[in-house]
Amino acid sequence: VTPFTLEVPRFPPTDAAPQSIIEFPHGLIGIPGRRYALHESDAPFLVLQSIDDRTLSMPVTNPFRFVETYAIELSDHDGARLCARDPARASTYVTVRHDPELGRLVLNLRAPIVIVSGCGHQVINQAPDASLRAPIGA
Amino acid sequence: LLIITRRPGEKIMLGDDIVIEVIEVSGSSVRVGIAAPRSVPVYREEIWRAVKDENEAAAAVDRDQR
Repeated sequence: VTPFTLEVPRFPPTDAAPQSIIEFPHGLIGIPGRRYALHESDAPFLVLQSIDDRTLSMPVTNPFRFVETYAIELSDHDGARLCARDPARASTYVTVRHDPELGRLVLNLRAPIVIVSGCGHQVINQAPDASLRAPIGA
Repeated sequence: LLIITRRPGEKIMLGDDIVIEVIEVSGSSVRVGIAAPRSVPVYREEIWRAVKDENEAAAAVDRDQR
């Protein structure tokens, strides 16, 4: 997956299709903003774009495309917090970035973003092997 | 910063809904129980900070590429 080039599109908020607007009742962890648009980008990457702050966007991807054995274990508290009555309808993403120290793309498998019916939560994965910076693309 | 002394079994209220209870003190460790509404996220601080840093780094990548 090297070299890393990710051209991040900057759509004005009004361009976002309504079905791609995600409400995060608690935002992303440590990041301001409650409303994001999920945009297609260079597959397999997507862009989570803040509607409140257009300079804020984060590349995300489907972790299962890269880590077949990826598993998410949630605390009871987090599990209850999700809007997920039906886990099968949930979409799961993780942030992706280039780690200059590793010279690789890394996925944050520790804090997946789970979206159900337009409602998103970033949760802590309790699985012991869930890395904050899991390199991909050997 | 509010600093208060509690013994095992004693509790702290954060507002009306969040209860922090000291369960057990053992050497340098304190076991704490937290009862909070499911709408309130609860994190270990070091994990919260690590994820916050990682989120900011992920956001910074594409800011740098503008």
